[in-house]
Amino acid sequence: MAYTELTVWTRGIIMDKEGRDIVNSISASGRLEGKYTQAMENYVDNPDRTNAPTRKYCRVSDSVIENALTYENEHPNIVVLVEQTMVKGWDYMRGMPPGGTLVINTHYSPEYMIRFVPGPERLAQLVCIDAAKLADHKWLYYRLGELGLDRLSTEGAAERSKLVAPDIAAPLIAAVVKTTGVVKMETIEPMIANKAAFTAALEELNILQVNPAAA
Amino acid sequence: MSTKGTHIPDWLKVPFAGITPAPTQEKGQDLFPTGNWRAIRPVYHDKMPPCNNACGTNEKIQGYLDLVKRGKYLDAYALIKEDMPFPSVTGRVCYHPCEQACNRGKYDEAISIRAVERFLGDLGLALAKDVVKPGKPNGKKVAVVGSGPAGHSAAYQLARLGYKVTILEKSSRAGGLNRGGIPDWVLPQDILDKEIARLVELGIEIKTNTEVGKDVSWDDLKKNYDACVLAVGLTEPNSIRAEGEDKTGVFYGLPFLRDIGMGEWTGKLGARVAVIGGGNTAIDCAREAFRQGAQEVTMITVEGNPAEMPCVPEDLHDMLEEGVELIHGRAATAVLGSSKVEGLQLHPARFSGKINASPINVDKHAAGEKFACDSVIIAVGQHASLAWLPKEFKNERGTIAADAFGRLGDTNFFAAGDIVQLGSGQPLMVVNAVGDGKRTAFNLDKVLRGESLRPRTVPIDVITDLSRMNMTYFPKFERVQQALLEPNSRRRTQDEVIQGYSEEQAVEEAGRCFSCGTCNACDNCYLVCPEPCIVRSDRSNGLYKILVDYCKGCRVCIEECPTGCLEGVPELDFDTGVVRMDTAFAISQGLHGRQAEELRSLPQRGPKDID
Amino acid sequence: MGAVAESKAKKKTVRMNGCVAAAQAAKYADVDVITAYPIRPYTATMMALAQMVANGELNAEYIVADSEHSQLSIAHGASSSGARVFTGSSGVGVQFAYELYSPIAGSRMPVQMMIADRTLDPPGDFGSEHTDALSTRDMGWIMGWSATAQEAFDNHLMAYRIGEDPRVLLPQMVCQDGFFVSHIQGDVELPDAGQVKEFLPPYKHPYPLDPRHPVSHGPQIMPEQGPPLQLERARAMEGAVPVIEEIHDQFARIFGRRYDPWIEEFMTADAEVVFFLQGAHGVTAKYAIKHMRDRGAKVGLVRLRTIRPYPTDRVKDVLSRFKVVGVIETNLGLGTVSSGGVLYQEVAAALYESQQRPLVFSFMAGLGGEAIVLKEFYWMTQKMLEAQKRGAIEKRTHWVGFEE
Repeated sequence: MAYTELTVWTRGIIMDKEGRDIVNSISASGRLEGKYTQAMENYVDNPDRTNAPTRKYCRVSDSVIENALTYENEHPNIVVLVEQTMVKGWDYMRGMPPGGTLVINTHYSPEYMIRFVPGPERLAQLVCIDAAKLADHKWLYYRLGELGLDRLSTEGAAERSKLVAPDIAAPLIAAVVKTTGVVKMETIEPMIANKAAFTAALEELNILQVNPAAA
Repeated sequence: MSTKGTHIPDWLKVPFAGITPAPTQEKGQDLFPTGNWRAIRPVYHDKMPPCNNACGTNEKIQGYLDLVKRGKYLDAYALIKEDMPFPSVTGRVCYHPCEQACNRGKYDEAISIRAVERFLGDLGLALAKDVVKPGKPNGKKVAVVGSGPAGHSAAYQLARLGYKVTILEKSSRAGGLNRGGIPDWVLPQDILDKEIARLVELGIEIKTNTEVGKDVSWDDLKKNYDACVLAVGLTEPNSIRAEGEDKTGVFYGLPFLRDIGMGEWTGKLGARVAVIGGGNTAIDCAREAFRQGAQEVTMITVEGNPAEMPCVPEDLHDMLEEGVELIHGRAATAVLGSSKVEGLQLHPARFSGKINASPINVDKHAAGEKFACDSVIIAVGQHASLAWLPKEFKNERGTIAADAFGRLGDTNFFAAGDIVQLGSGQPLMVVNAVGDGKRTAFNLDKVLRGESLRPRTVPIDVITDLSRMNMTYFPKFERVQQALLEPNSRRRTQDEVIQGYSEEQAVEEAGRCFSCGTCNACDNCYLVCPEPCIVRSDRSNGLYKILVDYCKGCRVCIEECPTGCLEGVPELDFDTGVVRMDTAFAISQGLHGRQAEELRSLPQRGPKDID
Repeated sequence: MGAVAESKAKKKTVRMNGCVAAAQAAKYADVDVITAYPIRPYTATMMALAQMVANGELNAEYIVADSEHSQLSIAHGASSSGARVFTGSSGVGVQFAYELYSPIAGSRMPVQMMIADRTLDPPGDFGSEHTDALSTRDMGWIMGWSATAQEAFDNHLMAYRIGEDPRVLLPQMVCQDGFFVSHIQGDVELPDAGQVKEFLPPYKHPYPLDPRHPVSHGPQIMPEQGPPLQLERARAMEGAVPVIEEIHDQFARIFGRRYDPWIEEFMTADAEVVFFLQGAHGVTAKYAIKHMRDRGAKVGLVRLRTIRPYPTDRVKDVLSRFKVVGVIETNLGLGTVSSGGVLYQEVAAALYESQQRPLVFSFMAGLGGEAIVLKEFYWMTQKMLEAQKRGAIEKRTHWVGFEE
């Protein structure tokens, strides 16, 4: 695609790093391939609070991105939900042009999840991947105190762990790249810290073709 | 003037100087439906309390304790009566498996459930008319053979279902083991009489001195009744197969107690009595022996220590308090004396297997001891007398062959109580017989209405783990003890040994109930919710509504629920409760998006005049 | 002396946002004292620096003050004792420290302040407006805006060199737009340690607070001693001008990136109408200008890089070449000459002596941190072209997005 927007929805503080890893790695891969890319954190969502929704954005374009100085992706082609319950809480499909892709980290099947998606006819495909299981991540809501806990990074300024995608971001990145081809697999794979989860995810994708003609 | 000609579009209009309406109690929360933060939804999910589960007839124990806590005695009594016809009896005699299972026992002391039940049972007996009414007559007739606990329970439930019930009792007085197996100082006769009178109030006919196989035949039953429940019990005492067992002065435990209970005891006990056996019947016999004039009573049992004896520990304790001696690890191998009992020959002995009913290994090589006594009471269990039963329904255990539903083959004959429970692994208790009678009655009803009988397949979640509840809310309190008569004086009377609870005691003891796994409207969730989004919609015995639009799934209510009834269920398991928030977006949708649109199509456009 | 100078840090290009670029500059400059107080968007710089100090990458005193006022007070004290100080703030935080700006500048302490712009309250808006820093423009600090993360990094290094130069000794505010520069990642080439060592000598104040050589800073004076001190301050600010030019040359020589110290021109060679602005919107402006050039409009961009000391003659000379100057005000100056922002009046004053004055008016755009989209640049260009055609301005200030 000439110009692709990707929006990642995560839950604040506890999953910020996952979201950031997705947009940063895709943007970095795009640059390596000679494309123009941009990755940014949300700014208009209020300051991060634990569990509150925040978004990360990425744009990949064959030509210079001239609307770089804007706050949000208004027409995301690809939407990633890092936490499955977010599927019920917001209109993440808003502005999606026909032919989009929705990737969700969940153990439920896409046939089950599609009931929660608003306006699913714009989707070409709905991809479900159990990223938490693949990354062997000890979720979640009961044990906030133990979680990865890179609480530094809500301003995107400092990271406790310098690794890219050491955790559940790896399977999600694999899902995005495999199903949309926004960047090449061989460009992004070397960056990923959790290679085992990344590779395993490629086999475990649960894809529902919704409206492929819309693409 | 720079602002001349400027116009603010509607969708960008902001209130004066950025002042916004404040959230109000009624409307404010509309602005921020924080339900979409939630990943786990709290759900009220009652689990099975261990007491209800352990009770042989699954009384709703947690339910009636809760009602007593709140002073609703009549409602509590009515709740017991759904499953138990004679709470004033079980309130005295039951071996209380509920108390053994009570979770409070792991914490400080188990709730004294039996005492509360007795309080309610006695309260019920004091009513002029019972709260239970017979069902609408359905024109069908059922015979219940035996008026013991199983028969009583089956007849009671059938009458409530609308059947015309006739109880056939071979003794002169109704009651079965309640009458003739439990001493008066545990269960006074008049209490039992009143409970039996309640049966008559329900329209049940009781024919005493009517024995199946003598006065009534099998075919009579088949012909005159639409269905029949055989609750004949185990009436024949077991023998110890010792030499000289037929001497004068040897009695058997169950007939001994039965004749006393029926008022037909003509025997005489000597001054020194030996009781053989280690079960509850043996204990009752030993204590009754004192009341029948014995001076010394000794219990001789094969079990090596008190812990192995198949009896209720508190009864054993009360027996020892009254002065009964206890000899362990001995079997009586011969009864000594000319024609009257003069003593017993004892040998060391052990059970060969684990259960007390396994064969006894007597060490014949050891020297036999002589134990001097004038009377012997043998209480080593019972068996059935089933001469009247068609052969195809007898099984190798010597009891009735009934299926899992208590039905004999595909006939309309059912069996309940000890007669089917013997050897099944279930302990022989009044409450188990009551439960059996109740379930058999329901199964009979299903069969007569042409419905199929199906075993239960859904697993029950019995809550026995204290960590599923929140113990912070339960300070430790000791059990309220029932008063007992003084041991030395009580062994000479038939007065009731254990005294009942007063109203204050009953309420205090019921107040110790954890209400395991079952919501009892304690309001804790309502108080701790930080949102707050728990609404008290219906107050009686606890229904709360969780406002799904706002609940953030913080789990405080789940953690703070004392009874463990609140659970966290993954939000995506629910189709409902979708709360989408709009405010996560920039206000002017499309402005920047239009620009991105242009950029997408940029390669196709050439330069043109600026417009 | 510290980690970076002695390290073998090699030149490399890293992707980072403007806040982290500022923190990196502070690290390469091997600052001695960092005073911090969180306020978004500057907080990211504070966080990055905290991590560096905690990891041992940077050996500095890190002090979290209890407010911006304290932050600057501590910075003042630290600089007075001879430490190289780094601090920063945004929005209303900048104004909270207001009491300190004149004393720091007047006592010739070269404190460096990183400002990531944020709209002033009310009510509460993270988006970038330049009013926060601009409201302190006359206090005597050297001040300028960066449009990219690379420029921010470079400006921070240059600012230390300029401010600490014995001929200058003035504090510096290195400003960047909140979010647009501070939170969007760009490529930043980090230098060799050797380059920095060559470019930036250690800080040495002529009269630091030192118990071995006691001096008094800032005592009470009589009114007649006032004027000479003020004159000295003005001399310092004017004296900074040639130093600024010299340092930019040196920077170009050592690091290979040349910046015009005062103004960046874009497609102005044959432009008839130009935008005049400072900060990140210049980036979008360039794309818009390219598109409009394709459509035949002769439009260009003049971006002001340093606003204090104001390059009056340079502005006059450059802008006099055009027919129309549209000043894009990403700031608010209520009740000013143009009833709009604050840049207009300085542009107009600079042009006053010009023989060939262009038409000058202003656009209020990007207020509250709202992005200025390409369509709005087209609209603004249209206004300038119409004014050119008409030969007169419509009004001194246009409110972009609220007018036909």
